[in-house]
Amino acid sequence: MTEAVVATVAPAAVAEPVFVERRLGVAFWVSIGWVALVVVAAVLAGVLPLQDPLAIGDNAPRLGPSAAHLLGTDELGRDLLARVIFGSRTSLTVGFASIAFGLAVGGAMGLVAGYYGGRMDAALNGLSTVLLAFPALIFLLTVVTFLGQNLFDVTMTLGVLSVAPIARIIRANTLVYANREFVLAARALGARNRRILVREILPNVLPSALAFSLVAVAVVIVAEGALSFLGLSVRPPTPTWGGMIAEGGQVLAQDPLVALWPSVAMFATVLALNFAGDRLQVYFQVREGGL
Amino acid sequence: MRFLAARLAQLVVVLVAVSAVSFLLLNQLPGNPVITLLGPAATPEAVHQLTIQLGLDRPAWLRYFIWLGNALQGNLGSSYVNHQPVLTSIGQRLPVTLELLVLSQLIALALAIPLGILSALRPSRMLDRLASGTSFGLLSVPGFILAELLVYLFAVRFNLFPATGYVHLTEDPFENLRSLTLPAVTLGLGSMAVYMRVLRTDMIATLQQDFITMARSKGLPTWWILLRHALRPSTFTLVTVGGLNVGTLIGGAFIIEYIFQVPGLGLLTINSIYARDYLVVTSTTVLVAAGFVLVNLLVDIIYTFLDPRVRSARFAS
Amino acid sequence: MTDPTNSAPHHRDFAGPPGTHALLEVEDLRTHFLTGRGAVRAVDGVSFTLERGRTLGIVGESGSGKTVLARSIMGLLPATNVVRKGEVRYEGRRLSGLAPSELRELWGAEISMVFQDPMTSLNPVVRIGRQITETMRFHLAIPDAEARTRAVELLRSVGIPDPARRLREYPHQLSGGMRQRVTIAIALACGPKLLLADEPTTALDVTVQAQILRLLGRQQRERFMAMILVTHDLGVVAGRTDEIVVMYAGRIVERAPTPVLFSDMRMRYTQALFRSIPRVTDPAHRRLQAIGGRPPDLAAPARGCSFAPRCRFARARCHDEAPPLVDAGPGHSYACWYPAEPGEAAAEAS
Repeated sequence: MTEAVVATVAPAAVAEPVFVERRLGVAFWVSIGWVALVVVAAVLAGVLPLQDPLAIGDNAPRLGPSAAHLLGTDELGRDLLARVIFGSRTSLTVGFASIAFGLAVGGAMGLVAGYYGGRMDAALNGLSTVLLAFPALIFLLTVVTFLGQNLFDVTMTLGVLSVAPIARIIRANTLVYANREFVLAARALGARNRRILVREILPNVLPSALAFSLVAVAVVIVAEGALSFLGLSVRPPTPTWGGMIAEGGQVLAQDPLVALWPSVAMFATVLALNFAGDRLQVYFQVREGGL
Repeated sequence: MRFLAARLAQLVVVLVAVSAVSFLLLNQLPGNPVITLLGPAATPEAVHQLTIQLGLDRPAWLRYFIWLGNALQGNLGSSYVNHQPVLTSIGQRLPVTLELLVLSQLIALALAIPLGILSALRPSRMLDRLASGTSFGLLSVPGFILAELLVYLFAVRFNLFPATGYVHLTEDPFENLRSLTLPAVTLGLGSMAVYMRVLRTDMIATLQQDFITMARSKGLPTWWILLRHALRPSTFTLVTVGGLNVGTLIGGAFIIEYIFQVPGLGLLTINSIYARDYLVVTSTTVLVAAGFVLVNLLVDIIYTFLDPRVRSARFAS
Repeated sequence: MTDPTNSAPHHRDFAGPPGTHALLEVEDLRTHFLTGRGAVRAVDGVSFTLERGRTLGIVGESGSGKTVLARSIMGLLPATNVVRKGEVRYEGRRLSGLAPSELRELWGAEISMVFQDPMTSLNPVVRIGRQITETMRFHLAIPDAEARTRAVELLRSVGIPDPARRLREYPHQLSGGMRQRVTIAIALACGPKLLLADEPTTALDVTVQAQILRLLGRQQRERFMAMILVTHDLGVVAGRTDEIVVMYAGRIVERAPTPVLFSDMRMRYTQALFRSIPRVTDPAHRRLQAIGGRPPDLAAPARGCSFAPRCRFARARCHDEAPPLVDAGPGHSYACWYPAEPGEAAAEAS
């Protein structure tokens, strides 16, 4: 038959045309902006003109917002704004550091498993099934309770917990590329496996890994929040968002604002990270060419 | 069915592995249950005596095998704190947690399925935008924040539901449901957000399929097409996600139980961790891991019923 | 049918004395899709009529708009980003003015469609039996048991062995040819007067194609249905249609009763299509005569004849001015500035 017949009928002709956003959008940059703001505030907390977050006010419990205390004070008269900003340090440090660790270790494992396949892959699969079956929360609570409630232990525990899920996702992403033509071409040209991994596959896996890790950071921030809510994270009087929310929960009836500010801060940050990570994932998929 | 046998074998392996890891891990960590029990002012003799009494003087691996042997006979040991057999404690607490989980998932599905279908039917219109936006927001709200918000709204401001306190199902079904409402809703809303998004995505994809156009061309009413043609193929991802969500769900349930003081497995576990009550923690850990693997096995079995193509492939072998 | 004495450009087809309507009347139908690139004019001014018991073949390449035409006739288009102009009348009623619920009463009961790929047009998780009986349930309001009996009869009449057992099976358990027979059975379940078959054999093995076409023909005769056969393959419509309409770039470029088209084709595109069919009698290793170039961009219609860029016989006028449809004989019209000579095609074929 005529070769012209080979072309397919444009599917858009009879189905709904689906428009995919090619740009990241304003909301994305707003989210990134908020996260950046929080990070900057956390870093500069020491030099900003804030009240002392630990200073117990005398006779000034649970004040509403005022000129001296922009967000009011808590049960012990401590300035809420300062505590929220200093509290962000814990959340952000744990969040970014643990995911960095997870990416380094889990990412390497996932790359290797996805690329080499075979027994290494099967072993990793079995290992991660067991790891993932282990109730993460119990592991977290137990280890942190026993090991010690300090920043390093909390971060490391969450980092270790994140290795298995990250490895799985990186492995899945690697598999997509490992069989592509340009990898076969590189191999045909005599490139060694390690070189292929680093030069060909890694740059392709990195963008979606980046997108996904934003969401992962959000998850860790929530997990640390839960820990500090239960009193199992960094010890008081160091302010933590979760800890503040728990304290605020005690006085909900009298003054809901105490719980409100750290809740809003945490929610906004987690939302921003989730949203930005989500948009990035869509963006990179589209560039992929609609796999 | 060979695949069933293989999955059961996997279950056993996972259970043994999890119990071993949990047991040994707990023993590596610092913190001595004896000292916790007796207090820091205890005399060395008292500590020594209690240590032997609880069998904690023997090496960890030996204790593990003794525990395993006993466990297989149904004896999970006793709590260090109140000497109640672990099996009994679990027997009391498990139904409570299960009720909480079931209620929360019912709420989640009751909201997610209609919202998911309606959003997919008219994507990018008002309902879809509202539902998707709310879901995304709910996904980003940590459970404990949501719990406090709901407590503030419904217990403090408008005294509709109790903030804490649990009434047993057998005592008073109505009060039982009322006392579980806030916890179940807190848990359920999180799940609802996940389910709704997944269902919506799948549904949108399904509605673009040829067989839906064909069903339309047969003159079938929209509700029939949605429910009898489009819904079933769209639930595959939902079921998978449901299975994977169990781990997060159980973790969330534990925290919710703690916040609302619901006497379930979660509260037991958390309190036991504080008290270094090893045996209890080991048993609940294994139970949760078993639950996770079982649920995923259930998910696989559900596939066989949902998708006749899978059914043919499975039964052919 | 066409009024041979009227040679005005873009003449319409009228069914005869007012009061009697042809089963289907299509009048200057246009379907435009609004996309990011502008309006894609998939169907751009199509008119024809069809009587009951007659078969019309619509032939064109992929991208010619023929599938969109079939769906436009039925009204089976997406709700958004679509502009529909012109009129479609079924038994005198304007389909374009009907509400969705009224259209649904017609679909399946009066007008049915057979889709191209039975693997994707049948729901993989619903049993065959139900996919047949649900139409009957909604249109004929008969009880389940009777619907099932009728379904068994239908399956038998389309040539499926052991029909009772098939009712409980799923589509993936049948072969491609059998699946298409099921689709046909579904389409015929409520006794429609008009059947639209959109590339019914394209997704099937060559050996099965003839069987399906024969089946369609037989059913059409037995039920005295009107049928529209949409295809890219002139061979499919050769012996099985009463009239053929050739489409290109959303427009009709030639129309004729079937034997006339094959013996006396004028428009150069029809000629090219005809030439490209490989014949058993051709010498071995004879080159396939493909039509060079690519299908036209429906979002940017050409100023002149849409086929001009690919036509061997195109001259300056073809690129500047779009040719109108002119008559060549009773029921035969074409749109071409430099058509084939009468009888040229017949000489070529022998």
